[in-house]
Amino acid sequence: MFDYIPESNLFDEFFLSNGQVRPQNALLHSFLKNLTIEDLKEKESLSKNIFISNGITFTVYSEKEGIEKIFPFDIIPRIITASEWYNIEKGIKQRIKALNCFLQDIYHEQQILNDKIIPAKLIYSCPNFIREMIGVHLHNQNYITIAGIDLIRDNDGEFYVLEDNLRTPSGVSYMIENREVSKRIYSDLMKSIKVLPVNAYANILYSQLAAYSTRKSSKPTIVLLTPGIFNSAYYEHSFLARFMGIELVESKDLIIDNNAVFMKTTHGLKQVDVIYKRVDDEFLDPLVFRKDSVLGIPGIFSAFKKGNVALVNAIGNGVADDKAIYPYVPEMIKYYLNETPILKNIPTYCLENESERDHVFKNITKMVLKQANGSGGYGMLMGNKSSDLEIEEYKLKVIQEPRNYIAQPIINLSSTPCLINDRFQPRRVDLRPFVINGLKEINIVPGGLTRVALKEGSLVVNSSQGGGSKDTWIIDTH
Amino acid sequence: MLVRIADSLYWMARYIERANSITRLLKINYAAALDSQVEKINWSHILSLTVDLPPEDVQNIQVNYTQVVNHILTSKENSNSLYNVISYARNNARTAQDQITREIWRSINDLYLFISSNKMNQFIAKNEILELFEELIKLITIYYGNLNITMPRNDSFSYINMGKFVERSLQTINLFNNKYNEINFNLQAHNDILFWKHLLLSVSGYEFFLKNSSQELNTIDVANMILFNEAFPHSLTFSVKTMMFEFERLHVHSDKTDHENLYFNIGKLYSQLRYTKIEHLSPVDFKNLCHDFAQNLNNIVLEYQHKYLNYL
Repeated sequence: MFDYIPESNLFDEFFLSNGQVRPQNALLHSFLKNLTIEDLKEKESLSKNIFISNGITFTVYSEKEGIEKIFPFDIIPRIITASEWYNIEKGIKQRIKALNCFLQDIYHEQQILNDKIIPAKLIYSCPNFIREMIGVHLHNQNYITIAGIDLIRDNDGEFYVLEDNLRTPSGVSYMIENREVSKRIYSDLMKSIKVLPVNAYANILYSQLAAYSTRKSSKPTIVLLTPGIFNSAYYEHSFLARFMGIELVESKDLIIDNNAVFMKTTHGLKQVDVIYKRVDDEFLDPLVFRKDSVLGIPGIFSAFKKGNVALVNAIGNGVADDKAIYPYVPEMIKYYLNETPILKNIPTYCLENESERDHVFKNITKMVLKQANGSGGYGMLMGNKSSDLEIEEYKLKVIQEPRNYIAQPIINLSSTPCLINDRFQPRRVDLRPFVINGLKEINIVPGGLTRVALKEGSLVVNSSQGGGSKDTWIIDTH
Repeated sequence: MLVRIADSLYWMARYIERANSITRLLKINYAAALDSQVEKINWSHILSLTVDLPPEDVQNIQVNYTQVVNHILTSKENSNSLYNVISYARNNARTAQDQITREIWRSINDLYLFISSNKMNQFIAKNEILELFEELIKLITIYYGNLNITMPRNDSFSYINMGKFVERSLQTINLFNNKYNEINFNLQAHNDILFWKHLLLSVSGYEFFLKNSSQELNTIDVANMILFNEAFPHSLTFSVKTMMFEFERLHVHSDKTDHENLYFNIGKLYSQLRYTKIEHLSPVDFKNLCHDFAQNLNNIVLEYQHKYLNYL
């Protein structure tokens, strides 16, 4: 372990800059110190076997064969103190409240536009602003119920929000599975470290979804709508359905009758009250959105508008997690809640703005450019890692559609030790806590998914781009 | 339960049962071949049961041992190869993952990981074919063990059982007809003891036969056991009786006309099996009877799938 050299000029999650172990890692450090490399390799191999045997996989779209992959898991947990966590928790709750208010406002009165806090043009040019949702009243539900907020830690040790995921954030099953693996490979250590539990997630989610049912019924019918077994997150869909005890449905299992949704069961049709949808909005209803969609259910939008079924998350949330809207979230917090943002944003340049675009182009080697509606690490340009030709090609795309791009200065994600090629090496990490925003309260299970950029020097943590994950332990040191 | 999920559970069980049947058939025949000479074994009978090729192609590949093994075990083109059958089972299990226990999913996933790993090729390359079959049978047995001890006795279990016994009954009657065809359905024929022993071993019934029959191996006793013995879990009667039980449990409250028609047909087949005596039948009558069983069974299975598992 102790030939580990933290990267210079970076915040290391395990060691202080003077080389001492951070207090929260002391017990883990002593535990690891007593292990041989063979012991560690054995633990690594055990964890791999658990993932393989349980079929805990994700799918990469670009692969032609063997589309299922095991999500790489690094066995060294990442530890965050409870006091740091409570700040994160407070900051995320504040953010979610404001974003939910924003969605309610933007699809109704649009006060925030009238007061010129956000330019109207930015909203109306957003492809995920769903005009059909304007004036639609949500019956007994929130716009945002499930969210994943991506955080990074900069050199100053502070957590910043990298992006909000308010449509269908994935990864929660890995958070829970990672903990199950940790319990097996660190059973001795976990007896002495009090790690806050994450396994109540599915129970909390079920209760919140059940509360959305508008029909008076002792046991509402809740289903999870998946695009099918070839979707990259199918494992997660089946995991959540299993742990909530609900049906995992595909569009062909559902039909609409008299503005209500029914599923085809072996005992006939059964009315559905709540749908946790993992299908993108644009594919949801071919009568309203994309006509060529085979993943949708004709007429479901109408059933939703009538209040006969709750859709989670609500349709149209994409306007709030658009990367061009992201710079305005601190303003939203002030506007809707009259509070100072607890978690900071990363400085972001909207490339539609000519002066900001010029500034970005001049300093492009210090910038990361992203598509405003991109995800999964696709369509990004890391200015410091790209060739002149790649930069020129990217600039052309930006000039053609400036609204669709944003830029941020390259932030140094914090690093932490990972077991790679039989030795400890620093790798960059982020953190995605998972939020459940219910009618009465906001729940965030203590932890989240720590994603790791497994390639040396890389800042891209997405699973589709060679990223892996770690278990995240929130521990109370007092 | 969703109709689509019921369909997946049913097919998952059918494919695993098919894999079980193919593996045992191969193991027995391969082991039998070692008693004589591998080159002389007639693979056409096994190929016709396990490979979806026209008869002339079967004749062409049966002379080449490597091709035979490849076609039955690892071929991606042969839809009945073990690789494909187990992959289909896993795809169905994956679709119905929230309706089966984690242990069942893991045992099917382990089976798939084995069949798609390099270990398979290593066994083949080292010519340790019997070891390979033993390993596969062990993994399939773990699946059946997990099914029995972890699965609640609910509708999901009944659909799995339905699939299992539909497949088993089809495998049993096909294997039976194939084997008896070799003696032209002549119940008075005296054949080599090993001929019957291999048939019984293929349906896991050799020990049962020894314990339950005082007679030496003969054409009529073997036929009686495989077709009619209600205590033998691979007999046609046992499978049909279980299908009838699961059908009634699952569908007693469904559409009356569909239910009555199909229940009548399954009951009729069961009665035919229950009240048939074969001792004095001529070869032609026995052949017709066996073909009728197969035909009636096929019709029942197709009607069941169409009426109860069609979700589109």
